[in-house]
Amino acid sequence: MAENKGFNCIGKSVAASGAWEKATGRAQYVPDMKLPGMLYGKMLRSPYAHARIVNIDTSKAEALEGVKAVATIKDTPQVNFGPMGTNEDWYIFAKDKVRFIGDEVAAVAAIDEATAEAALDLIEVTYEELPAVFDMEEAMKEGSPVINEKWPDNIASQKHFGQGDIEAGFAEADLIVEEEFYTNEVYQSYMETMCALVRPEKGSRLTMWVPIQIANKARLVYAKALGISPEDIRLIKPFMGGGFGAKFETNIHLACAVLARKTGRPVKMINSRHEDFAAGNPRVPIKYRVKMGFKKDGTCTAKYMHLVGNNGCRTVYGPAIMSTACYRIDALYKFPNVKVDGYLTYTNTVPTGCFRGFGNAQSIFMIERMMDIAAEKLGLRPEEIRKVNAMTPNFTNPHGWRVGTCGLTESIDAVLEAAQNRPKTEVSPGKLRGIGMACCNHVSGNRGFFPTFDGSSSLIRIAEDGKITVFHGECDMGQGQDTVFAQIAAEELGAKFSDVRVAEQDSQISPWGLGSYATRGTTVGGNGIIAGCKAAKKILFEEAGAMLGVDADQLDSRESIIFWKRRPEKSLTFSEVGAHYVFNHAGSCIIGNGYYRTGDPLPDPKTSYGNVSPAYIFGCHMAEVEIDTLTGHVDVVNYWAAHDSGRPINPTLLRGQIEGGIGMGLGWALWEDMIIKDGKVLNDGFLDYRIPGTVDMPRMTTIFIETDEPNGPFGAKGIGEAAINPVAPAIVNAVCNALGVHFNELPVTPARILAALKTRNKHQVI
Amino acid sequence: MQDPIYLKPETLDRALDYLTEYPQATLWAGGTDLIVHLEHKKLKVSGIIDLTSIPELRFIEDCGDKVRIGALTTIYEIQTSPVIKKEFAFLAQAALVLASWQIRTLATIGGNIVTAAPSAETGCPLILLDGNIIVQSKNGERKIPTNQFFKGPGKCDLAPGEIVKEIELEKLPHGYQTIYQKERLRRSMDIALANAACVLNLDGDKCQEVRIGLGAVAPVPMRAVKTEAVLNGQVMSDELVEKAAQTAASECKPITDIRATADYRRDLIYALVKRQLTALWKAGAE
Ligand SMILES: Cc1cc2nc3c(=O)[nH]c(=O)nc-3n(C[C@H](O)[C@H](O)[C@H](O)COP(=O)(O)OP(=O)(O)OC[C@H]3O[C@@H](n4cnc5c(N)ncnc54)[C@H](O)[C@@H]3O)c2cc1C
Repeated sequence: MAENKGFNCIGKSVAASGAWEKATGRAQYVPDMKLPGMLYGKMLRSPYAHARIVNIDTSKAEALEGVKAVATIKDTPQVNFGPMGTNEDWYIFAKDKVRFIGDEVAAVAAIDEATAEAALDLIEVTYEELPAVFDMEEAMKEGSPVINEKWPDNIASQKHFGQGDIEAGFAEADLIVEEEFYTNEVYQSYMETMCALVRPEKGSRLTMWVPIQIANKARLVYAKALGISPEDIRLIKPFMGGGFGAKFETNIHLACAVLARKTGRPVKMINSRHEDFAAGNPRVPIKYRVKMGFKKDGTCTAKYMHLVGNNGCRTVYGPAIMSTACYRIDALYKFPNVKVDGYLTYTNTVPTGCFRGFGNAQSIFMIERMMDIAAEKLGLRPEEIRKVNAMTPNFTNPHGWRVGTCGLTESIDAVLEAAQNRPKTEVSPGKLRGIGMACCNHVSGNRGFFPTFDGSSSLIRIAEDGKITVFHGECDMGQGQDTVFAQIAAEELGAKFSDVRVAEQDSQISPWGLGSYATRGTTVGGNGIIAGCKAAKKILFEEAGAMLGVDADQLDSRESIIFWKRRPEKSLTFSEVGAHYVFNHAGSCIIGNGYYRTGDPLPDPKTSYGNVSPAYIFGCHMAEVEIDTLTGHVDVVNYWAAHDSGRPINPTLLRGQIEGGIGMGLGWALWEDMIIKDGKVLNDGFLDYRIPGTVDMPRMTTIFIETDEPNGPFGAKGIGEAAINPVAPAIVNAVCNALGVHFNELPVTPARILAALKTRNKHQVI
Repeated sequence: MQDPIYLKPETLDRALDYLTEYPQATLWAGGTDLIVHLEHKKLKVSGIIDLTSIPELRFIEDCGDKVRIGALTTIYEIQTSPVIKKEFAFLAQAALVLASWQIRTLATIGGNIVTAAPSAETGCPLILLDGNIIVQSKNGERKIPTNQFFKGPGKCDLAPGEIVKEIELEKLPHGYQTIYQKERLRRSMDIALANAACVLNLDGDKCQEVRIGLGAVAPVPMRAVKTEAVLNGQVMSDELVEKAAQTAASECKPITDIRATADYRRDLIYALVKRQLTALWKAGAE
């Protein structure tokens, strides 16, 4: 760790906020909550992938003792809505037909879970099966069953754009490489399944406790779905057991609200793990066909991509994810000429959505495999081909993205050096070793996600005892956002860290923020915190100046003491000033209300041209694997990860994000796969959907490439998604390196490895 | 909803009385299989007879030429028992890789064999040992040889009204070595894709007697008789081990399911048998 550069709070590994509550079991998550008179809700889900609903008879279920209500589409406003304005293809419950196995057909509220479950069996639904389509490419073919009438070709969205001259680019290439890739469907595996607790209030108002990454945006969508005004919904986000992109809008929240309204009582609904697998928001799987041209020295002259993603039967964020997959990697390397044709199709499968990496993780797998394949053909080392193409600081890419700080080359050098210095251990007999590298980039606050909105804000309150409360509209889902915000606030205010608290997110008081996605929290949210602090500090210093008889701009603060810069002994504490202010303003306390916007115009929706993020993050990973030649089992034995995330605000949390990303990516590389047959998720639980455990984790070395990002709070940038982006390709590249065989599909399971080993050995014999 | 009846007998006799009175009741040991079946809705419970407070069912006893293991003995107790480690090292090895530490402290050996999963950890070691599963009912005791207890996936030789009381196992003669290994997708807690156990008695390099058990590759833990025939009476060599491993891979009867294909399971059996024979042969030759 570099030393502190005069900061008080930035760069310190303070304990994460909420750690005490979690360690002592006091943290209240939605499943822990219980309200007086509360009922339990359960969802009836479709057993068919595509079927017309002929009739729903709820009378027997309603007659069961203990059942308080059964809700169907008839109990809702029956309007189309959805997370993305371009594809509003949702209903709260299935209307006229079901579109996937797991589709929400009806819900029951009862005095306990067992009764609610028993009632589900008593709901009689008559279905008439319809032909279904499951394959994303099949879905686009003429004559495929139509899933959503408004999209008769089953194409949920498409993107066709480019920059530069692709033909000229290919013409000047010394080598053309053409490959196909597939990144599979995977589940986010957060600890707390999707759930909600909803209490009906007077009139049409509701209080909703939901673990959600985008509380304020979801409130708009939910208000539309329920036919009420956003302010009619008080949305509280309590402690949250992870999200990783999955916890965006979901129908279980709305079904719970409908039941609460219908019964007039609080209702809690929790997905079982099986339901969460069947009807969560898994990763958008993507098929790629790629053609790239290279000069002898590895310089890329042209890149053409054709990709198809599977949206599932209705739209969560597929179009934005597919679009991201089309071009975000163009800020990882300097591709002069690029062209892409991207499609996202409807199929009768579970709707797919955001998963850490948001389409970029998929494309980084593709491009980092491509780089190794091209390097091999050109006789270059993996780092050589990457370095000649690598993004550099202060560069504007073909899409108008203005990269500022960029520690990509330094990241490559850092992991190489660390890997070279590894202790050289003997390879055990019957094992093969390999080493692989992969680079990554990401945005840090994608703009134009919710097109009318950009930036972030905060309210900072300084109370009569000098204690500070930070109100924000972003989201701590366990990653430590609140901790980082408290550190930023303490630094900006010159306050004691222990005096800063972060308020639970509650739409009744918290500002309107967009929330956690696109690795935006620290960069964009952090700037919003600074803005609120500046506003609060202005009031605080003016009051202190009046009390001390000194101009406010002559004052400074440290450790919650305000002092005259010229004579620091002339000072007042935050509590002295806070009390003075509150008691002289009839109880009004010091409140700073500030906001941050980048000021840039938003990217053009057609050409995608325009600076998409205030800052860009980079990194490079290396993995060393050991492969059992008899079983194909892969052990990742060593792992190095270097990241440019600007200035680290909390090194422990930063390292935690990186190590967590490595674990998550390792599972994706080697085993994780939703096995879906005829629309049914066969491995809908952790018995047959394996994520890595502690024993599977490698020895990890994390390296921070510290840059000072002018657009980030105190020079900081984000990390969350970048941490997973290069993991699968680094590990797969290492496997390919060990075996001399190419794997372009995820996951690379022991069975696939063993099959490859067998054919390889056969060839050797021949 | 009516809550199930919950009974907690403190003697085996009492438990048998309850079982006569409530023949539909579920016998509950560690509950680690039962809870999963409840969660997957494969089981409805009208009553529970909790066996965990019956001390006479929980013991490991060295009786000279035999070892007796009470049905309620936990997997953790088997894993750490000096008697088991000394007499049946491979049973302790199997216990060590069953589930996680938390599960092992609850899970019992009786529950493991009654569940009769083709992948059950204790299955292969038990079928290779001479001994009996002893079950008790109101009508008396019944002894079932260990290699006849398993009848199919989830099926064992246990009649209504019977409770597994103990497992009695004959000690192996001096000089017999044992080994147990499982192959799984990940190194952390995972169900076996295939497992194998081996008992080997060598005279120098000559294989005097071998017993090989294969798990998760047939409806029940199976004895690899053809493979044993390849080895018995032969002088150990790399070629012989190779031939034995290939025989095991071809004589097992795996299925394809979401966990693995039949072909991959055969590959794993080949790997396991090859490694186990090599390990015991090299260790025995020392
Ligand atoms: C997370 C997890 C991981 C697991 N991993 C493994 C693994 O790696 N390998 C493995 O082999 N198993 C594994 N299991 C399965 C399970 O833990 C074992 O089978 C365990 O030994 C079962 O014992 P129990 O005492 O918990 O059985 P219970 O669940 O209490 O009972 C199982 C069955 O046996 C019956 N039963 C129990 N005792 C008696 C008795 N004395 N007489 C008659 N009937 C009886 C019960 O009625 C029931 O039908 C795992 C389970 C879990 C939850």
